[in-house]
Amino acid sequence: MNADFLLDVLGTGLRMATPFILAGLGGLISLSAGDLNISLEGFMLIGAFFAVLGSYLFESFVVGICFAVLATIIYGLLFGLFTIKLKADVFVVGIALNLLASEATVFFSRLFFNVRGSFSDPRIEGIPNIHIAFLDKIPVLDQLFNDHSAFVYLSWIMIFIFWFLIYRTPYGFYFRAAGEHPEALETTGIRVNKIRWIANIICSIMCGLAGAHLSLGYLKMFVDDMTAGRGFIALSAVIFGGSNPIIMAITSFLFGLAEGISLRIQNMGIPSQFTLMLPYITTILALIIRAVRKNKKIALLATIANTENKIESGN
Amino acid sequence: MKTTKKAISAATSIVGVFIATMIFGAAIMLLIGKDPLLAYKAMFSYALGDVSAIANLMNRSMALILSALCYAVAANAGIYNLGGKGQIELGAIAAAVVGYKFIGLPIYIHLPLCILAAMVMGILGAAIPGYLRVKWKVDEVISTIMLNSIFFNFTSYLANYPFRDVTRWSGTTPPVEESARLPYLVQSIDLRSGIIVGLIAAAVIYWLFNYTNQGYRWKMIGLNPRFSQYGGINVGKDQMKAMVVSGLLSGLTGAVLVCGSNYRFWESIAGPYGWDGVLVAMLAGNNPLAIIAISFVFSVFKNGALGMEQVASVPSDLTGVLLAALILFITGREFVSIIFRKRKHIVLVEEEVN
Repeated sequence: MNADFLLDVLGTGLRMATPFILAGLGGLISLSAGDLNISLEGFMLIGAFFAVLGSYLFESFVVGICFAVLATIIYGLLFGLFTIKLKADVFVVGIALNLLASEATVFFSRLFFNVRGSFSDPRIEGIPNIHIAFLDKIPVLDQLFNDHSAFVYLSWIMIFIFWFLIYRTPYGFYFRAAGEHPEALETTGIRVNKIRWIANIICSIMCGLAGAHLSLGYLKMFVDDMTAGRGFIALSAVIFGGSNPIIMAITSFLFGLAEGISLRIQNMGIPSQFTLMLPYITTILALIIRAVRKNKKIALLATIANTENKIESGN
Repeated sequence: MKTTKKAISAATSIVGVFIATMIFGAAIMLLIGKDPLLAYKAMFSYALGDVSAIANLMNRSMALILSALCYAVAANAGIYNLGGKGQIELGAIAAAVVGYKFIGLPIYIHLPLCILAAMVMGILGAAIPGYLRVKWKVDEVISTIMLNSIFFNFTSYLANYPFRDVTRWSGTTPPVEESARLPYLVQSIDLRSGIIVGLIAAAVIYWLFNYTNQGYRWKMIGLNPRFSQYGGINVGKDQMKAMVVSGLLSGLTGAVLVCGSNYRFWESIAGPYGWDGVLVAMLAGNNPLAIIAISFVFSVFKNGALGMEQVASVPSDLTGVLLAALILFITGREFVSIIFRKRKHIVLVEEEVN
């Protein structure tokens, strides 16, 4: 295994992590406001389709991105309508919206493009790559960090914006309060539902961007069900990172790396299924570790309470 | 008296929802300039028109019934098994491998062996999230979704490497022996007895739910776990039992898919059934009898889609959109009933007093 190969895999990993980071940041806001949105997958798919539609109709990637964001916001309003307004179960609505996105995008691509499977056209303009001139002279960094699609850099900036939003602004506090202690937030005069709506819309926008990156970032085409489980990987990163964007992003990088490695070894004829499982196995392990810790904490609190009781009754 | 009333109101609401879906579909068809009447006529004639269409319908319904039951059993006990897809795939590959590796066994040994292997794998697949839930309170909704992807990759590996049919282009196992296939129901249209398995399973679960202690305990846990615990029910143990039965049913689904209609395993064999089963069970409110009815209607929609496309040039994918929209209608229906329940509740209380 030579250095070139290693750098190549790392670079691919960085690229692959972008949709996880973008959608994950959205899911993270949504989760901290108390709704675990399991339909990140569906939202991304809607974004990916409408990005291609917009870019195809107007031959402009900017319009494509706008289409993607608008469409996912509308889809997000649907999610909000059922979960916040009609108080339906978040999981049921999530499952339904995932299925609906998968079916609707296939139906739309039949309707608008009259194709099934995949749609590509020279009219579709992709999101451009960004070349950073001063990196040219630094060998390793150049290979790793240069000439990625614009959204790759955008996602890195977003990590810090979201970190700032969550930990350094009142809104971040409201989001977390809406998730952890909605009643307490309500008593301060802030409407919990309003916060949930805002979180929901931010989540939709981020998923729209993630979807646009999938279809316009490198491929410039729409493929049926092209998210291929990436929404669930993003969800894993969110669950792993809790409300911390930095941990979420690092997890996303690792998951992206796993996907990059899978791609490379698949080309070499080695089974890639086990590396593809990694994100999901990590998530389950993380869930177990967290749950065990929580249970220990509860047990500890119980013993403390018990001893206190004993002391009291002893007196 | 009360139960029949309940059943009638459930049936009418289900029919109402399906009619609403069809009207919604008709509106979309008009919008894209197609003839809805022609399309629906084609849908029904394609799905129910001749014997081989009926055979197709039976094959789809049986898998759907079983897969819906697997969600329903767990959900009824307040534990949500969304891992049906992965567990069905585990069961299917077990049945397929046992089905082609053993040669020369008589059918009355070989077939049960296949089904047993599938059930064991299904139970394993469901017991993992069940145990995590009961032991450490790990959210089973997330863990089962994650396990779906893990099991998909695992079975895909098995079908592509150790057990691959080398004569085929991509990941499938070789066809199972004749002795590992379910007996024929109607030989001329290649209809095997899978549908009977589905109906029997639904009947058994109905009996379990309504006429046994276990079913009563599950119901109580589903309604209020804390109260059940207080009342002396071991919630963890009973939920674990529900997950085991659920896994057993998914294993059975996999076995029936392989031994009853496909005769081999391929990647994502449970693709159309895992999530559709969840939807059917949700629509049916986890009632096994309603699951049978809705599975048939669901299958008519899905199988008739191609007819709609050929006759009325409506893209067959429209039915998928309609069925996904259906579940949203249902959540809406529940909301509507919440509004009206306030008034209805008073009426019911008065009736009970009288």
